[in-house]
Amino acid sequence: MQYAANLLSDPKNSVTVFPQGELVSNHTNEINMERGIDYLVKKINGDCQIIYYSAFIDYFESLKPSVYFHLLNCGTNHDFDYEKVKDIINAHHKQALKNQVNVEH
Amino acid sequence: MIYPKKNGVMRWILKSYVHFILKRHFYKIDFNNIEIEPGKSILLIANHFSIWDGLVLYWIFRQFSTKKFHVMLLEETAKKEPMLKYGGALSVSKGSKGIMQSLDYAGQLLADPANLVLIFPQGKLYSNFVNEVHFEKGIMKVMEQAHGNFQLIYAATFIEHWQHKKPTANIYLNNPVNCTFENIEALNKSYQEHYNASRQQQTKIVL
Repeated sequence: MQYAANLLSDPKNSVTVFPQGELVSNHTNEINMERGIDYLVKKINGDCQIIYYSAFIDYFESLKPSVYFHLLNCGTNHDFDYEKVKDIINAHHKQALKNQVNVEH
Repeated sequence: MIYPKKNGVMRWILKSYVHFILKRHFYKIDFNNIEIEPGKSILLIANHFSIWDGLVLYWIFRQFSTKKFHVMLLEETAKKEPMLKYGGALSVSKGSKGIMQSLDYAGQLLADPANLVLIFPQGKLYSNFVNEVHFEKGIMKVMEQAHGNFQLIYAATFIEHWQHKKPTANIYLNNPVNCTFENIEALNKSYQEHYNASRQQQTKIVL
C-alpha cells in the first residue's frame, strides 16, 4: 500500500487497483469496495486524480469478445471520502449496466 | 425460408468443427444436467447475446440427448453461415410473410419426439448484461402449432473470464413445471424468473 501510494505521489505514474480485493462476477450489481483503497489514497502526498471504470465483456455479432469501459471521474485524493466514493461507484456501476444494454455494436 | 438439410458428411464436419472451436475458445463449459422426458420433443428457449450461445447449446445437448438439433436463425445469419443448415438451422425473416411459414415449420418439427428446436425469442442479439429478457410473440405460434406435445426447457447462458485468459460459459438449464401459457407475457414472465435466478447464482460465484 505504501509503495503504491509513493508511486501515486509522483504525477508521472498511474496505478490500477481493484478495490474489490477478489474476482467477482462481471454480472454483479454491487461493487464491494474494501477499506484498503481508503488507506492508500490517504497516504498519497501530492495530486492524484481517481478514475473508476466498470468493464463489461460482450460478444454480439463477433466470435471475438469486445470489452466496453464505462469511466467515472471520482475527483482527487484531496477530496476523497471512502463512503461517498463507494456510493457514487455503485450508482455508476448500476447505470453502466443499463447503458451496456444499449451500447453500439 | 432456409430449411435444415440432411447430409451425414456435412453434419459430421460441422459437429467436429463446433467441437474444435469450442475447445479452442473456452476454458470450460459448465451446465447442470436435467431430466429428458422420453417420447417428447424438446423446445429449448434461451437468451441470445452472441454466436457462441447457439453453438454451446448445440454441444451441450449432444452430451445428453439424441434428439435431432434444430435452431431458428434470422435469415441474414443463415445466409451468412450456409453450413449451419446442416446442423439443423432454419431461418426466419422478421416482418415478412415468410415468418408464418417458419413458425409453422418449427411447430411441425416439435410434433416429432425425435426433434429438438432451439429458439431465441428475443429475436435479435442483445447484451449478456440485460436485466430483462424481452420476448417477441412469434414463439407462441410455435407452441400453439405443437399443441403442447413437447418438453419445454429454459437455458440462461453467461460467459465470463475469471482468472483464465479463455472464458467459461455457465449454462443454467431448467424444466418449468407449467408448459402452457395464456399469452406471451406469461411465458416471458416464467422465463424471466429462471433468468433472474440464474443470474443471481452466477453473481454468487466469487474466486
